[in-house]
Amino acid sequence: MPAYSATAIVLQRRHFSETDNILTLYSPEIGRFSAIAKGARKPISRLSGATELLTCTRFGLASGKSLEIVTQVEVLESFPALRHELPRLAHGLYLADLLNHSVEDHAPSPELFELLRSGLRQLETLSPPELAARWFEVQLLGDLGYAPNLFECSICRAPVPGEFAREERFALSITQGGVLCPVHARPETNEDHSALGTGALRLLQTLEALGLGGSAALAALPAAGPRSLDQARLALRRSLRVHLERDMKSLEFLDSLRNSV
Amino acid sequence: MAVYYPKPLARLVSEFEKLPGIGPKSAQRLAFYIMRLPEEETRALADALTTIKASIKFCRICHNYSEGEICDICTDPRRDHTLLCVVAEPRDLIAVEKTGEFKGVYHVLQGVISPLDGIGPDKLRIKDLQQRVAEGDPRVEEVILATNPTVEGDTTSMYVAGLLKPLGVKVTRIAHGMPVGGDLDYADQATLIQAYEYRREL
Repeated sequence: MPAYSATAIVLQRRHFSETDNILTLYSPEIGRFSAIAKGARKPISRLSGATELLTCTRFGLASGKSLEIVTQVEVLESFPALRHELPRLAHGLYLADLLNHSVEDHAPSPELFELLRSGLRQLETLSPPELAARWFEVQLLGDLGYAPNLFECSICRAPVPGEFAREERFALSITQGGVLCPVHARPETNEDHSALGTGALRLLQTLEALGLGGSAALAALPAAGPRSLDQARLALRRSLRVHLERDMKSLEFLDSLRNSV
Repeated sequence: MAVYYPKPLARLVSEFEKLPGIGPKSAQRLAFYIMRLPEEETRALADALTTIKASIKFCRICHNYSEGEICDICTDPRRDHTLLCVVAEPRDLIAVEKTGEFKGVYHVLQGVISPLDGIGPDKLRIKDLQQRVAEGDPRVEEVILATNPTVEGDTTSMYVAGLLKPLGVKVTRIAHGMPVGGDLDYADQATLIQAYEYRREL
């Protein structure tokens, strides 16, 4: 039973037998993998805090027959501020859900690990927290190879917003692989076109330009209006739904929170 | 399995295996034990199993298991009906009852909000709780949220608190941090942060 250690963030946790948990972890060295934390649900277990969802932990692991076995833990970051505000926590779970369903097992990507860690750090303080989620989505799409072309019309190649800045009628097309200028955008009639105003387009451009390492600059961005945030959210959600071929379960709760406000 | 056991025995072993924490070995041991039981004891067990579904229901007020429409706790006039403890599962209620310290009444949510599993507030008894606090007689003065200190427990508590506070009721949550008999040296960072956060003056 070879032993080794790995840093990982807990993406998913399922009860198994009376006191065990099966964890889905994402590690920069291993990628996504599953491990069993035996006795983690006992009240005095050393494993319980470190194997909680959204915790970044240094794991001591042993290779089992079908699952890795957690032998030791040391919490590196627990993102405690997430657990004080419901929207922050709900967005944190969404990031974990999104990454969990975007990657294959044992396909390591240090960049995606850092993306999640930075996203969770930003969620602790950023206002509104959903800005961190939009940055995460834009960067995730880019890392998965689905980055939309946001700086020129995907049909006529005209720079956007450019001369159309006052027209407010842009769209993001998944089949065209990017943004469309007001001449070609038909969000009212074409289901593939997600409406974007100039504010939403500029927000998406800024979020993409920040890059994977640019999360620290999120706090300094000029405030985006609720309409721009909404349009960016809906356009990115549609894009992720098409590329990942599913909706995240965690979105239902986020939507219910949004509707209850 | 069918190769080794007669069919009725194989069926019993297979039914036991479906129970939580029961593996093939334990299922086999239980089945063989039942085979050795006297006829009347086996009948008593079978009768207990078949009647439990028919006679146990959920209390109309607190949603705990109950023999009648309303459970013994909700009908007990000696309990403090202005003090309401919210728990996720009936077994959590039993854990609180065993302390003998709590004299109020309960509300069982029948689960916790778990966004990653698609379990939202609509699948739990949260609306009933909101209605109970809004229209309760006598009026509920304090709601104690006794959910586990997990992400799901925190999510549920914050969501419920957000619904109940506008109703003018005091909402508290049970403390969490170091367990009794625990050791600071072995406590993880997350537990210690919470223990400091929920410290109290002596």
